[in-house]
Amino acid sequence: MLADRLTVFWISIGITFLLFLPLLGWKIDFWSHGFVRDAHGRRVERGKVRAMLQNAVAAIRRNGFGHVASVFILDGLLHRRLWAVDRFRWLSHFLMLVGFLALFALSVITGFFEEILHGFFGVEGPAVEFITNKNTPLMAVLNESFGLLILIGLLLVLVRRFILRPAQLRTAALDVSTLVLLALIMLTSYPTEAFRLLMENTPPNMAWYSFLGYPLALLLRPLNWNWAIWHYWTFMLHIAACIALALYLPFSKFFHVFISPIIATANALRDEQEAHA
Amino acid sequence: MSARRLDYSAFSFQQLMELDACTRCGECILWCPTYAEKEDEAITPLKKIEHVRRFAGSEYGFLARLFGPRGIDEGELHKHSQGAYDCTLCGRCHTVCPVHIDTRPLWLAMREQLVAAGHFPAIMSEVRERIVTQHNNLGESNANRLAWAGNLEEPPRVVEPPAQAEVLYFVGCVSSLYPMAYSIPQSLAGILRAAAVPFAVMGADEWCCGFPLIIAGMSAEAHALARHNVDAVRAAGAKRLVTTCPSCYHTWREIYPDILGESLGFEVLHAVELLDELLDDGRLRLGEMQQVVTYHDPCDLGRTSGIYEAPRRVLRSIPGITFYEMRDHHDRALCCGGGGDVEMADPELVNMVARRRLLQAEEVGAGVIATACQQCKRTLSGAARKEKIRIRTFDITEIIWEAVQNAGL
Repeated sequence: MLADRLTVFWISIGITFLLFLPLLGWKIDFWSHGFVRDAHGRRVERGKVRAMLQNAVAAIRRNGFGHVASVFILDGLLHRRLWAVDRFRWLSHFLMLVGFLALFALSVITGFFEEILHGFFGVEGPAVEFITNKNTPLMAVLNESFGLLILIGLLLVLVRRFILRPAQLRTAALDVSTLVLLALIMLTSYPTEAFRLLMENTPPNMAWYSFLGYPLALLLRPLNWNWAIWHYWTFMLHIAACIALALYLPFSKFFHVFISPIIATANALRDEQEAHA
Repeated sequence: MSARRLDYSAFSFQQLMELDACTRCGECILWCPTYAEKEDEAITPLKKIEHVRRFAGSEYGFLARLFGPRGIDEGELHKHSQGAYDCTLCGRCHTVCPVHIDTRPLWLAMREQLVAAGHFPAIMSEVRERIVTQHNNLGESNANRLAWAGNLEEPPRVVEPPAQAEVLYFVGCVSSLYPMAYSIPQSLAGILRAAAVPFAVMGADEWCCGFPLIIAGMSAEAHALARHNVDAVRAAGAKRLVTTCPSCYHTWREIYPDILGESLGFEVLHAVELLDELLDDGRLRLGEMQQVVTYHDPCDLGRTSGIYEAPRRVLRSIPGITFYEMRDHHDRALCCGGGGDVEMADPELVNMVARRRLLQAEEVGAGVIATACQQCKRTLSGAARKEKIRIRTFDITEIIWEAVQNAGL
């Protein structure tokens, strides 16, 4: 008897979240070995995280929210310096970034509608149905498209790192482990969708919106496997890879996803300020 | 493997975050002037960050938190130290880092950490000893600081408190004590007289600004030097302090207010800013010079202090000068190799970096490299002689003084 797929999913997410916080706490504890200066340039001995946040708020006030937001987007997320030096690398990064951010946002919205509004409060209605039904054309297309962006981005990364191998690139275990996890997540995502379509026997007029999952389902259909079992285990593998990445995140190279935008924004603003001084 | 622990208090909170912001893309490697000459991975910005991240991981990483710290590998620490002290601190890596990691201060924090751990080149201890006891980085008697003025027709006025000096010229150790650089203060003295700017120097009361110690990771010793120098300038009643050395300039303008925790109360200028001002005010008349000139941005004046245009305006104001930019200029300018105290630990590496810069000047057909730094002049001139490259290097003050003399003043 297999445990309910979604029960396992939500328990896993809960545990991940609970574990992620102390892991992040360890990280912040290490950063706190460094010094922080307050607005008057004095070294802060206690409450360093608070002082850092106060400095951040002061910087936003000084520069204006709109300007900080534009620097955050251009330097923190889109890395315009990277655009200037390497378009190929910029594109691979851009595709993965947009794909991840969009899929993350979509997952949060879906989770909110499915688990909070519908599951917890029992809200019904067309909006809830639209968001939570995986066969809704728009949701299916969006999920597939954003996943495809990540997949293409990841392929470009792999081509650059292992085939083109530019002189400045150094590949260490740290880089490979992150790529393996990302690849595992992507390689289990489309099969999971294909197995779902086969398991639910989704009619073609609806299934075609999963424009990658459905062709894969058509390819697999002659095998006539137990699709429910296959869907269950690929979904579990997909979730396990996501959880592994989340737990490994604070100590992996992938942590730059959170830190780089902050650093790039802070330092770009400071560089601007110095240039105008 | 020992149970050594490292101290991270030299890093700022943000710098420790920056270790995690590095994506290991390696863009910095393409622009690192010392790695280009000495292919030692430990020199690369990427590896330096990786080293510290690994040291931190062995003490504060996931496994260390669960099973206890593992201690630091002394061999790896030694390798890291060699890489960290082979860096010229040119800061070019910062200008190309896609996530804007502020590399130069990060390298300084690493050196501070290495000094605290006792892993630094032995020569640095000697430099520290010289500066702390003799107040200059050559270890000569500080009374010799006016040697450069020995053959001037009119020696500069040495300020003695409470004597007032509106403009005080802080000559710096290299220009004061290396005969090869004497012509820089001599030229500035000539220019200031020609422009009728009253000025004075501090003579033996001028102490090393402390920059060599600060960049060696020994900033604690710089405090006393800062205190002495700032008090001396205040006692002289100076309104403006002028330097010809970009490192002194940076130290006075940025580091002194920081380590003393107070504003200086007087203006700090690099000579190129003053020259730019004097030319703009029409206080200097320049004669013709038929030269093909290129400009080498000193790292501490350009990338560290953000001064790029003033020296170019000054050079372009000389009649007859043909000015060309080298392939790498402004914030992407190649380092001459003379920074970061590398010369003390690895002079051959410095020569190799300087050679590459000279070839860039040769590429544009320049006969003269103008710079605004006595150390760049020394480094580039020395390499040109050694490598038999027919390019002369002058400080801008020397070129302007010649132009002033050509004007017949």
